[in-house]
Amino acid sequence: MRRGLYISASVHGILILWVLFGGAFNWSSDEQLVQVSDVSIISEDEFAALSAPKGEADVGGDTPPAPRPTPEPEPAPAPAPEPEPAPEPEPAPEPEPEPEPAPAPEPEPTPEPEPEPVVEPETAPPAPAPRVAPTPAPAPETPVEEAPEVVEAPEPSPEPTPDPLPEEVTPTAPPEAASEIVTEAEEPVEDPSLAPATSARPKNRPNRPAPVETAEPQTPVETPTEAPAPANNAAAVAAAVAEQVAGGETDTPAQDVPEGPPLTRGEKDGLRVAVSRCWNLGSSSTDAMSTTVVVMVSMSRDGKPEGIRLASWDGPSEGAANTAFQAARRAIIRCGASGFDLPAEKYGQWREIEMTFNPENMRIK
Amino acid sequence: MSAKLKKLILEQATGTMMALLLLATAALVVQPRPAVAQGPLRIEITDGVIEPLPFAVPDFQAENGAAAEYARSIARVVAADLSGTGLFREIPADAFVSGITSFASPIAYADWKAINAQALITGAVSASGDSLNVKFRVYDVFSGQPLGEGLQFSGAIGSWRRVAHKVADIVYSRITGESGYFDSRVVFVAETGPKNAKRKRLAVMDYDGANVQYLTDSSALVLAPRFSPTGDKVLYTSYETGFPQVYVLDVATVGRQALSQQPGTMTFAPRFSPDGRTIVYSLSAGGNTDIYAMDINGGNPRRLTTTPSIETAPSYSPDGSQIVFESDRSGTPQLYVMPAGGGEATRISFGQGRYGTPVWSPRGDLIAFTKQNAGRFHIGVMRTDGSEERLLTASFLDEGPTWAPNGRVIMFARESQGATGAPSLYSVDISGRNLRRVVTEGAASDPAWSPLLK
Repeated sequence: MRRGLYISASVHGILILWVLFGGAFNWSSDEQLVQVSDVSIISEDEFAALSAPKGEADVGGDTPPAPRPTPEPEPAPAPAPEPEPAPEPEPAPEPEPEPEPAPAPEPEPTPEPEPEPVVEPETAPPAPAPRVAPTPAPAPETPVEEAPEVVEAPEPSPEPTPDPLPEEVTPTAPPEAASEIVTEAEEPVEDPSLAPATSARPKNRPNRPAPVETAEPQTPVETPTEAPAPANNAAAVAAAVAEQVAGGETDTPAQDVPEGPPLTRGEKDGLRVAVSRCWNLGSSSTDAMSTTVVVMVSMSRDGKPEGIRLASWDGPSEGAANTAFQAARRAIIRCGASGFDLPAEKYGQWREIEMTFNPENMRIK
Repeated sequence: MSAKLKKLILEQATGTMMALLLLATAALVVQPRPAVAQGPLRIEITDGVIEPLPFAVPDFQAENGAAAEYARSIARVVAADLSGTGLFREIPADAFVSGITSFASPIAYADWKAINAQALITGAVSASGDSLNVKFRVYDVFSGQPLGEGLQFSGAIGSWRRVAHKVADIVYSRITGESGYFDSRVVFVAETGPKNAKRKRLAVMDYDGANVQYLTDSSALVLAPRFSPTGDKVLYTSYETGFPQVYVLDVATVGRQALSQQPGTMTFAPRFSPDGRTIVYSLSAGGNTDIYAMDINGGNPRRLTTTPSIETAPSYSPDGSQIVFESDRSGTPQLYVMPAGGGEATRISFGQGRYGTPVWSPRGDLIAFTKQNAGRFHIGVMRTDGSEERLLTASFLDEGPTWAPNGRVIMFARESQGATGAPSLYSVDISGRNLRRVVTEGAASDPAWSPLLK
């Protein structure tokens, strides 16, 4: 009896242990694994969806570079014509400079007497001075011979003059100037080389003239209809009308120009900033710094300045106005060399630009 | 006949009426067009940049063998003059795309634009015997045209630096629109020896520190030299007799003459009037210091201030009508302006600290001064009514401003701190930029700038 009891008890105990530690835990772990796997499937889709655009972008990034090179060639021709044609027309003025030497001799007589007489007496006193200080009279005769000696002394002096540059470090104020020098040196040099950045412009041009042409025919049509009416009247009247009409027609060729809507504030600001960047007042006189100049600029279709003239000025003197105008002209030419970023479809709006250069904010106060 | 005539007249009348109507309508049709054009695009540029203008000075051409050594040297002095202003920046020769082969050859503007040279200076030098001839031109590279006509200067070979300075002056004025200051000199007190036993003597040099010449020996203490308006005489104070005494020295002959002095008085801080015929100075008598003026020959002394306080450091306005000076009548040294003949003075300095050594700008628009505040010294400028005061420098000891002939630059003396401290000369643009030391052989103080030489 007891044997049977022991056997059944041990078998039941083994069974219970197996159920507890083997079967029960195994079942639960299997279920959990299944749940985890479900989540992972969803996330993979998401990742796939997310990763897909990335791949596309990469591909796209590779392809665009191909088109980009094509626009680049466009700017390439642009820079080429800029430097080369510019100098070629200028050789024409060359003959002018040559004749200049002729007028130059005229000033000769005036400067000659000035420096010579003054120079000699001035160099004269120095010579006697260093050796015996308060000796007065003997100076005038000796100077002529001793003049050449002075020449030797000055030669080393050109070296000391550059020296001040390193010593400039000690002062407190100059750091500002130094930092400006650095930035300026870098910017202008980069500008010409970066010219291609504006390459998008040429594309737009061919497209826009088309809509404009449709608008233009309307105006010419109106004027001819009026012209035939006066046919019965005196010839003089017809001629007068013809003149009126002709006057209108002279405008019409200009109206091949796309007028477009007025420039947006952003477009105007872009132009303003572009010119400001090159408007350097660092070498202007204080008078020029208080002179406002109004400059008329006629622009070509590719956004480059073609003609620059001084329209009016407000300042202390004409000389200052001229200096201020030179600074303004340099700014327009330098930063407009590769064309200002202006919308080609609005060429009629910016064919003539009136730029007012007001240095009030820049003035030394 | 009469009916036909009437008809004809009527026809003519209606014809002209029609014509007038037609003209009117034509005018109406044409008029709207300008309205469409709307005039030019208008923009206003108010912000620019303040940067030195890049320029290139290729070595000048030597037109004969004797000129070879000067061709390069003169170009270097011109470049140093321009760069030294802080308004220009030289582009080094190794950046040049092309050179200048001959003075008469055309300018390849594109090559100079490529290196961003905005101004180009070319020149040629010829030398024969003892004389030197320099011709030059200035070009505005980006507008592709010369700035003014070519010019030439002639002078003795020994004065080649002066010729170079004259070239630089012309270049400077053509680009900036104001006169230059390179062909000028500076008189100063050269100092040697330790701080407690300094030996001082008057010296004169080119504005850039070259060609130093000594005008007195170091046997007596000297101070406060001032050029005459023509630059040929120097006023200074000497302690030769044990008391301060004002002398007039002829720069060319080094001859000098003491101004008449009343016994028992001390005169100092003398300065010429703009016409060179009057000297204004301080006179101390009986413990009171006031401002006096006298003729250049020492006659007709007259008292301009009559207060019990100390009045000193007088300086004329360029038109000779007013005098700015320093007075402590309010308790601390401040700046005052009065008529040149004396009279009621107007205080112009109201900032904190002590103001002294005022000097009227040759342009007449500003007054430079020394200011001491919170233990530091400053050189500053203010308008002649005392407004828009600006301090240009700050250091342990800055003093004694003097104006460049064009009123654009100020030179002054700066002394370093400590037992070994010594004064040296500095210059600064009136904008506060471009502070730089003027190189001198030894210690130097009390600078006074000459007018442009002639």
